[in-house]
Amino acid sequence: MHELRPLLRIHARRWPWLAAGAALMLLAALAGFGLLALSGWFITATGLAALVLAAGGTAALDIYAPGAGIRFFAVGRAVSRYGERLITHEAVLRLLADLRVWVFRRLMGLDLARLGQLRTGDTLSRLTADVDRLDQFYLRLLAPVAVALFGLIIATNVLALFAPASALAVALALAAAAIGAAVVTGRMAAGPGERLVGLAGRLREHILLGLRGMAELRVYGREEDALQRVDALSRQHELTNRALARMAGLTQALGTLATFSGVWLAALLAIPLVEQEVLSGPGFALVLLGALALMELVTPLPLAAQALSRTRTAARRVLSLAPPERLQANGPSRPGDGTLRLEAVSYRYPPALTPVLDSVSLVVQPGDCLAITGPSGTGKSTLIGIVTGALAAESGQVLLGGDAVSDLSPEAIGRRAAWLPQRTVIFNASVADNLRMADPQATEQSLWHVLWLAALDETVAALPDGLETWLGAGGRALSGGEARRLCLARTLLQPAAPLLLLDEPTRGLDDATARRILDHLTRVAEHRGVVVVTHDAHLLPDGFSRQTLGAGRLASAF
Amino acid sequence: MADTATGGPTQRRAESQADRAWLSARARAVGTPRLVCISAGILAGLLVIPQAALLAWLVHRVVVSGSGLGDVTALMALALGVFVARAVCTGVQEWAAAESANRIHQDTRAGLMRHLVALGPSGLARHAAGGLAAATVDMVNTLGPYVARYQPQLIITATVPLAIVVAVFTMDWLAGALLLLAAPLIPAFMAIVGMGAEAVSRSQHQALARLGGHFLDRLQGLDLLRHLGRAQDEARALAAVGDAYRRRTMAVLRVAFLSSAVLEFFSSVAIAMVAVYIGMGLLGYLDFGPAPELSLFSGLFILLLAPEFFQPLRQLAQHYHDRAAALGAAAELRVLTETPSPMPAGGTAHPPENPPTISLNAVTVMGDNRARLLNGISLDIEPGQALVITGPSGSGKTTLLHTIAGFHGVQGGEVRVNTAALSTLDLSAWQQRLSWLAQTPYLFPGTLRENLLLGPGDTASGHVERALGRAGLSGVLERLPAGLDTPVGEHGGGLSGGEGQRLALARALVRRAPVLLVDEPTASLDPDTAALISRALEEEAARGATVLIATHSPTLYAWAPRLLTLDQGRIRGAEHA
Repeated sequence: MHELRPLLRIHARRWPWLAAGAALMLLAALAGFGLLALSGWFITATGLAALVLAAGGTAALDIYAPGAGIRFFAVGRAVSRYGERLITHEAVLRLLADLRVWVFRRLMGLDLARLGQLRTGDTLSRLTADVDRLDQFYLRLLAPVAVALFGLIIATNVLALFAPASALAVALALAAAAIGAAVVTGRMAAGPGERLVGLAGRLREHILLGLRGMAELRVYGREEDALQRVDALSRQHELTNRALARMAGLTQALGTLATFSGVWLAALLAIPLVEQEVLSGPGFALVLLGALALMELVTPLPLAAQALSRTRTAARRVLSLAPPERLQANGPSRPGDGTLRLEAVSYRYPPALTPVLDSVSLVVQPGDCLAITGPSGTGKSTLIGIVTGALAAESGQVLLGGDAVSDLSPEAIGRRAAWLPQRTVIFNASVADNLRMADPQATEQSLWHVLWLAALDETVAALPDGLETWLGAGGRALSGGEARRLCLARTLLQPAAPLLLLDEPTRGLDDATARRILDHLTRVAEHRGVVVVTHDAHLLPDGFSRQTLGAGRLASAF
Repeated sequence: MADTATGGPTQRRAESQADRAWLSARARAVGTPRLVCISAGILAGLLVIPQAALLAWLVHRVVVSGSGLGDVTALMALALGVFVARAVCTGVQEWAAAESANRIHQDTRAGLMRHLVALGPSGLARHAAGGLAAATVDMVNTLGPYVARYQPQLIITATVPLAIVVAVFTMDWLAGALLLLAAPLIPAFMAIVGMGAEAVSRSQHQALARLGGHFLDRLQGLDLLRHLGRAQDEARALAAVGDAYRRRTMAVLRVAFLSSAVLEFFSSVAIAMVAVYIGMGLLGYLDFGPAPELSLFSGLFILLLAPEFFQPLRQLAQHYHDRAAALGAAAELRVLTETPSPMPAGGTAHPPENPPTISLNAVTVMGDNRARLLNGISLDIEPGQALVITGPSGSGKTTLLHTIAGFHGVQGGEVRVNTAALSTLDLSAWQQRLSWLAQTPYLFPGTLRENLLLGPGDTASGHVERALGRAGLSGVLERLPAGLDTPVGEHGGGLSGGEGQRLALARALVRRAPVLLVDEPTASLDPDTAALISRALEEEAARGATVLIATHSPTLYAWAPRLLTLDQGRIRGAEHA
């Protein structure tokens, strides 16, 4: 249950909302109980009074107070139910916002390698779905259980005023129904329920695999096999689902039966009391109808047990993706001296025997303009990864601005070196907002300047809303090459960084545009150091010094 | 996925009608369990009437007639019987609901998968595989609650209250009339509640989707945000965006919840009115209509039935979001199942055994939205030629391979294999004569050997081992005690990404196919494996096979004598060594 602890802490911060929602839920349930019980009492009382009157006797019955009570409960139930729905939704929306921020802050502490893993497959979209699912913890679990508990205590105490034995019977039957349903459902949800989650994941992955590998499947004539595998998994999934649902049906039936037997026992125990005139007739009706009304309190409980196991699974997955250990964030905050120094750096991808970087040394100073070229897979991006702290060098020293990279926090690395990742990252925001991610205070003039440097100024000027054009998820409004250039412009905007690390800034661009951009970069280099990694060695202008990476070593190229 | 929100209102109405029809047809196909579920639900609802009668009679006997426990044993036994029957009905209803949900899930998923496979590699390439997997699992899963909960409840709501009104009528026509007055309101209430619930679920869904989208978007670039020193700011922005959405959503909900509050209010007030009416009637304060004839029995009976009259409707309101979710899913699933396959039918001619001449003559291929994926491509590929195709993403590299493989029909021009038009060939046979190497290899759970010998291939002794050696797997194999009989788990469990790719390469080599189609196999690989694949492909070309490689990194295949650069579906450059 330890996975629920952080969840509880987040809930605790919103306790006034959560408590108010649950209190209104309780009020609505009690008003329903009061309405039915009081109505039963009132009608029986009037019926008896009428009999006395008909027999010529005199009966004094105050009909106004009970009538007012009935109206009070009726209106109270409707009003508190409305309030409950509003407050619980407000609470849950606040909770979800808190949860997202909490997960985001935890993920901020991950190292780059683990962040990279997060982006593979549909891990992230599953994470967001899991976070959304955590709202069940309050809505389905905490609130209904608390309401059932307090509701039962209050209602059975009221019933006990009239017939203590009956009240006890009702309480016991309802408690047995609730606990029984919770235990059975909880056990089921823990076994087949967790299996179901696993099966759903496997089903999804098989489908994904089959769809991605469709060309191979067709070529090898094996589509039918793949279909059958998905079918078999789907059937297994549904079988498990069915087992769960059958159990849900059973608990529902048994729960209903237990509640009804509570009513039945209450009647059985109360009838002798009426006979002995310990219990009045109207009191008898009140006990019977009141007990019947309590069913509403226990029906949500099987769902609560299901919600428990579901939230636990979701919470566990969220926690496993976002572990609590933080990267050390306190490195030196001064910007450093703007140099990059690699001394005999080696790196090897774990299973490989030959290193991809073999004792590489390199010095870049402000004003330097260096291009590292070489075919794909020779380790150019590995080199950038080592400088940005994404990968840890196996041996040798990496000094950024005079300090070892391993001692710097990601933010501190960012202050010393602007970085254009190989991946094109566009946020779902406007052009200007995307650029200002690098410098929130940037003036419009400086935005246009970096757009010009990235040879994108004309394109942006031609957009319907210019700088304010909304780019959509993943920058859908831009072509691949335009998105790439926007990323480059953003990198160039990063204000303080004295060094620029650009991983394939001209990928996907035509030669003329690429040349223009590379030419602009030599101007930037007047007061900053520039390192460009590229395939397109033939496009480099004269201002660049060149090194070729091959067989793990850097060699000067002319 | 297709955006169904486009088009005019008439078109949208026609589409949502088609969605509903699609959903109904799926529901009808469920058959018996659905009928059982509905019948059990109605029966459980109707049993409320004898239950109320028995309880009312019990109170009447005990309170008015002064009966002791011994006098009411039959009554108590009957009550127990009704209770048990209701519990059984509830259980059966639950069980049948689960069964119905499972059937619709299973059937829809199987049909959808079959359709996706029929779309072929090219048809699938237009959708994100992740989205399709989500559709096949999650969206299909929203259909169950609709069939199992919403639909039965709709029918129960239309029948049970009617029976209750009739029962009340037989006791006291005025009380019956009171409820009956509410009866014509029920369809109106259904509509109001429906609209309210739909607004609620739509606004909640939207808020969640937007917030989730924003969250996902920022997580996607978290490494960069941190590097830019903006991660803390974005965490704060996330909270602010959440706040703004909450405020907007709550404004909608405050109004939307009113509809169900009205229903709640009405049912509460109706119960209170019935109670007061009966009380006054019993006391003789009312001397009109049937009021003077009220007895304690009939009064209690009516009182117990009054809330049950509104109960089905209240439950329907709770299940309303099931309908919205299912309709949302139906809109996407229907469009998906109605997408025509781009795979041509092909003919019956036998494809050649040896590397053929493949020629494209002004080939044009259209994608969705009438975009030209290939635009008048003319190209001759000699037998045994190695051709590298490069160009930016979306320039048509993969489409070209798909077209040659017969995964996508041509909308202009012609593809010829030797002298025969590709469209006259038996395409299955043609495809099974190819080797295909892609970015993510498909590995079956089974042994290494089974994965190697997927299709017909040269299984002569030594050949399989040689292929493994060329794929750089000999070393791996030596470390495995069971050798080729080592089981490979799901998704190539036990193999690293590079090893999986090597296995796929070995599989393609074993086949000794006359034509190898290679679609960006090295994009996410370590340099060693990438170089190894390049070398193996070079050897295949030397063996005399035709090798076509679509790639972003043409330099990796510098040995290939011919380079073709595509841009926006046209040939931009061609180099011959």
